Amino acid sequence: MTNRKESFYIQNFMNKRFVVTFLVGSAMLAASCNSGSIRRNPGKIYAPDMTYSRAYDAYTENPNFEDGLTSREPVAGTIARGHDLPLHLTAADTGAYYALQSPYKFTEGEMAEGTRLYNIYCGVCHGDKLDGNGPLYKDGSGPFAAAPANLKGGAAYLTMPIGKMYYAIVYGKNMMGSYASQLNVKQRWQVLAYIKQVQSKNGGAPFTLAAGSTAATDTAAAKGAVAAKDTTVAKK
Amino acid sequence: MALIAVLTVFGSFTQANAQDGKALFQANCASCHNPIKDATGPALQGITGRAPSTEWIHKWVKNSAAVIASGDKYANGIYTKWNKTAMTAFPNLKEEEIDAIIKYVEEYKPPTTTPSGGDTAGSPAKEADNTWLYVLVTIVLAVLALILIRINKGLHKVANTEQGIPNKKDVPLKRNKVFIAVVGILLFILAGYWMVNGGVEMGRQQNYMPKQPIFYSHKVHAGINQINCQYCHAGVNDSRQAMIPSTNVCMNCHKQIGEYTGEQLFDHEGNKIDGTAQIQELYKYAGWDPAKKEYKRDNQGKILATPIKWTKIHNLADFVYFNHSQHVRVGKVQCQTCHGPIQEMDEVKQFESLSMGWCINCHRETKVDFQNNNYYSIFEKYHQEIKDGKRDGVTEAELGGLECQKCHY
Repeated sequence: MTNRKESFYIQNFMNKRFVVTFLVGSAMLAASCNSGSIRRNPGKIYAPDMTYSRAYDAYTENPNFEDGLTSREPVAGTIARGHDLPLHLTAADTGAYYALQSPYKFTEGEMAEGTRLYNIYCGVCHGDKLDGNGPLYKDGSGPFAAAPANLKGGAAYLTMPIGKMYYAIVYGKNMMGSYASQLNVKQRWQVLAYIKQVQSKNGGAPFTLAAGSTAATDTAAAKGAVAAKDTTVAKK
Repeated sequence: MALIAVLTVFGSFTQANAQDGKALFQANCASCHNPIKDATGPALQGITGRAPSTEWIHKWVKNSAAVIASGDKYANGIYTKWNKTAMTAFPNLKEEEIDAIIKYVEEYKPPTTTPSGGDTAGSPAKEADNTWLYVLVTIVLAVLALILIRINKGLHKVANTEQGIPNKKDVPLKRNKVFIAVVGILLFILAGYWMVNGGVEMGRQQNYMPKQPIFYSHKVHAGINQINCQYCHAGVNDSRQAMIPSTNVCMNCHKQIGEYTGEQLFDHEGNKIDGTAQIQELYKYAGWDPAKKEYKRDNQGKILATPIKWTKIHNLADFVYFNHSQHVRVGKVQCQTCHGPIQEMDEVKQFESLSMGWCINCHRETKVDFQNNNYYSIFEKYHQEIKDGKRDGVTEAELGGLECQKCHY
């Protein structure tokens, strides 16, 4: 009896059941396309040309240039707006570099910014305390094998001319790489001002880069060196 | 008696020397040398076996240039091998001090890192185990409940027949009209929810975790080694783009760090990743020759580097304007607010949906850094109201953060 009932039931409801199952199944399928956990593909989108820019954006590949990059280097001989004038010095002009002095005097806010920049770009090796013991070195147990300079304690660094430090930021020194691509000219001097400020409290020369402090430095000499270099470049 | 005194003095002296070796090494040598890794100069362990004699090492440390100039064959050999990098002269180091340094270097053992790779391997599996456990428990409980209901029904029937009350006609559950109606409505709601949700979610890319050309772990860099986000994404403060670092930024550290020594890395599928091989992969892009320790250059001196083609994860539609500096510098929003706990991700995924609702919601709820911010100095009314104590802050929405053309133009 149950058998007959059941077969009757199946015949009668088969279509409906099928429809419901189909609907639910397809809905689940649609939902699973674009939801849930980690996925390796970006999924489907309604309008690809609106979602992915057709115009060349900063990092899109660009077939119009040989190297395929959309971001271009500045045109030779031009300076981007708001950027400093070039020094016309090369890596070989160590003498002129070492004689450089900061063209800036910094306000308190700018000094704070210098501290922030130092902690981001330098502190990871030279340490937040400038003791040459940042998280990448950690007394030799970090991944970086060479000990970073102890900017606060090392006698060589306390007396190092600021221009020589500037040179190290631009071109790197020993195992330190160049930071010219991460710090612009003003930021480099801001970082150096912070370092010199801390050094002045630890036995270094008196700090002179704050706004209002009198410049007892030989800026003129440095300018002279740069100017001399400029003329030689011009002659070439 | 005197002899003993001399001996003890001498003994303590040498002991002090051995301990000083580390300090002397750190102070004088460590910026260019590592005991076991090549840095600016060669790894020093085994130097007593390599160098001609201890006297030679003394002479070399005190004035390497003089040793090279004297035409010493071994000296000239290493000088040329290390690209003619001159070693700083240390005329002030005493011979005992140099010996102490050598002793320290020869006895140096790398700090042991406890291999806890097994743990990291186990943790995702454990999570999965838990889910299954919950499912199992639920099923068991459901079956139990069903059995109890059945038994209850059976007992009820038996009780009814004993008391002579006629049992209700047994309608099978699948023909019970109420049951069919409830299930039907439920299914309809569920299906509707799934469909609508699927439709809305389509085009959003939450949890998108593409495979990248190099297995770069943000966890290792930003988490374990505490490198600031801005070290690499230097443009985030000044630009619309956060900036993807070019390979020269990687090489600031990886000139030195050529092998991965941390915990075993795994990708999302659980495959083991060889960190050292990934760094070698970086060297190929950066044009760095790890054997010679210098960049490969073309005949004009340009480094032969090619950019890494990272796969973009966070993609906003072309008609949405988003500016990183606006949020990070002015709004002082933390990276993790939108990108999630990036310092814990081996592989980065899109943490948030980046839907418009999500943006708007944050604009409505977030109070901006209003008072100490030059950017907002023109909003005099709000400043006055804060001064009068009428409001305690200003949300982004109140500064026009809900206007269409703020982001769509």
